[in-house]
Amino acid sequence: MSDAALAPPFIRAHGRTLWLLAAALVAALVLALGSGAVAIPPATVIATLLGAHDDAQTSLVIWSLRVPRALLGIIAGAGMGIAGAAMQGLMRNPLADPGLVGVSSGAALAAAVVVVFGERAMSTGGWAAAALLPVAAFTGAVLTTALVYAASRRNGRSSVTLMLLSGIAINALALSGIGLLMFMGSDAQIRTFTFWTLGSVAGATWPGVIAAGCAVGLALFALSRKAGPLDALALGEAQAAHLGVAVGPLNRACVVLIALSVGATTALTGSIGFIGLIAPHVARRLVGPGHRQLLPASALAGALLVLLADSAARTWAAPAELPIGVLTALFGAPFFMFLLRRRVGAEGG
Amino acid sequence: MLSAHQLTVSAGKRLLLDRVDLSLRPGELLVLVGPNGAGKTTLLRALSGDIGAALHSVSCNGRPLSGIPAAELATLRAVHSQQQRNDLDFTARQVVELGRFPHNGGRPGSVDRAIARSAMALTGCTELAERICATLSGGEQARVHLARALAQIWHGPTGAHYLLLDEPVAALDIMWQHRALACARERTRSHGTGVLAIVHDLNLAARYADRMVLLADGRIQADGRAFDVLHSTALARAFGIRCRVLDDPLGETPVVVTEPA
Repeated sequence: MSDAALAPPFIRAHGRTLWLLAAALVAALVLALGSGAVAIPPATVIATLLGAHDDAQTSLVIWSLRVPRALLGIIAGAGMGIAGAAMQGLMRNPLADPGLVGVSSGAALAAAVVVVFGERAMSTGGWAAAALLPVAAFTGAVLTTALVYAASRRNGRSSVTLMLLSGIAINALALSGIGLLMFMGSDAQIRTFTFWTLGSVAGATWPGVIAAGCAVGLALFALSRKAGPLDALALGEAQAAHLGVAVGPLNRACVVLIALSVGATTALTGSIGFIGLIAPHVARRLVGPGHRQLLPASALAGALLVLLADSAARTWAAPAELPIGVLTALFGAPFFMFLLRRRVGAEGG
Repeated sequence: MLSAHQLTVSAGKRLLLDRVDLSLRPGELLVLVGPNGAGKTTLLRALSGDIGAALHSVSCNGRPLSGIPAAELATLRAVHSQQQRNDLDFTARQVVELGRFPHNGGRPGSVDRAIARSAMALTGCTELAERICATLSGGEQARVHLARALAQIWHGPTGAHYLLLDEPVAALDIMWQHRALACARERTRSHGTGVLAIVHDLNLAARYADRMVLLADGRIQADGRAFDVLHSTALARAFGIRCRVLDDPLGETPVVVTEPA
């Protein structure tokens, strides 16, 4: 019996693991707020956050620049983390990731359409204009999630091969659509598109952070209520139905909530790849596969990963900034290759 | 009683089940035999409530399945089908505890955990509890899923709950083939469970069945005690074999010796 066949022994302590992850996130947050063009020591960061430090400039840097940015990173990471965990549960397939199967590209394409054709509507200002982009991204994400889900099913089962191949097709289609829009767009619009394909948390603003936070929070809350049925779904749709799970409504709810999470974050940060793949894997190693623990753990792990990646992206090439999506892909793609090899090895072909 | 009344199921133009009448009584072990493609699994799925078009032809304790909410039905009958791979790293214990889902909505309490432990002991899975289910052998996984099905209806209403097993012994070694069917029969006696099992080994079927049903071409060809069904010419016709039925001098069940026709 190999070690890999045994569940990690610390699975039983998973309640505590969630708190440890949360503590790590807080520590990473203090580090992230301190790093950048002006380095601020952790003690000063904490003092400023608590209002005990009255240097106006430090306070300004932290509250209006770094806090929104760090929060957006946390929200985006959490959103991608739960979307990945839910998608893997929905498809009973640990290789599912909203970016890989084209959901992020679909959201970006829909957002790009709005940028090019909705210019007049956007320029009117106000809440409706501000909501246009996220709503478009959400719609694009719903459509692509539903499309991938339908395309990867055969005889009521979800096939890894079909899922990944249809993901390639959908990604290619969405990217060609974005390419077409770039051809039609102005220079300023083209810069916006580049931002979506590379991903960035640099453009954080308080209204954006609050809106995305609400969307991701809602998705996390609603998906957590589906944790039990998602566990049952791991046995297959027929078996879940035998256990009394209403499989159809569960599937539809998951598609919408995954899309809500991906759409809300993609509209603000572009596609930060592979977080939806890596975070649930890290979380599963820490708390096991049960969704009641896995969903919040994936959210925390995703938030932690994006926060660390963004800190690295800001400091490695300072004063310039690496695009965060480039950094996550640099680590995520080899990780995906590793998972794929292991998976193919297990399947024997 | 779990009953199919004039149950007809078709896929496209092909008739899978043709006006089948079958009742599974509480406290009996009914073994369904028949050649490949006879419609055995289709019949089991229809009785499970998996086939939407058949819901009105199947009734459970006198109520048509179409009128029983899925969550309630899950407390009345458990199904063990030839399961699919699960790649999400659930341990054997977690899979068995999922059998208690209809009773706890996915939050197993101490009673659920105790039931899962007992069910695993019955099917010899205690040693496997903390292993990742997907890494177990086919036979071990079959026993884990049998324990899950048992856990689901552990305290089912006496004389009104059912266990449907699609080839429960297909992947098991000879010792576990006996222990699994003995365990199923023990549940019929101790808890009044009605068990329907699809089994291919005629001798094994005869050894444990209270009642045997032979299905071929989507119709019931014979229904009765093992002796009656195994003697029938229908058996030879259904399988396209010749068979001799001997009396086991030490036992009470027939022994079938088969050879190609």
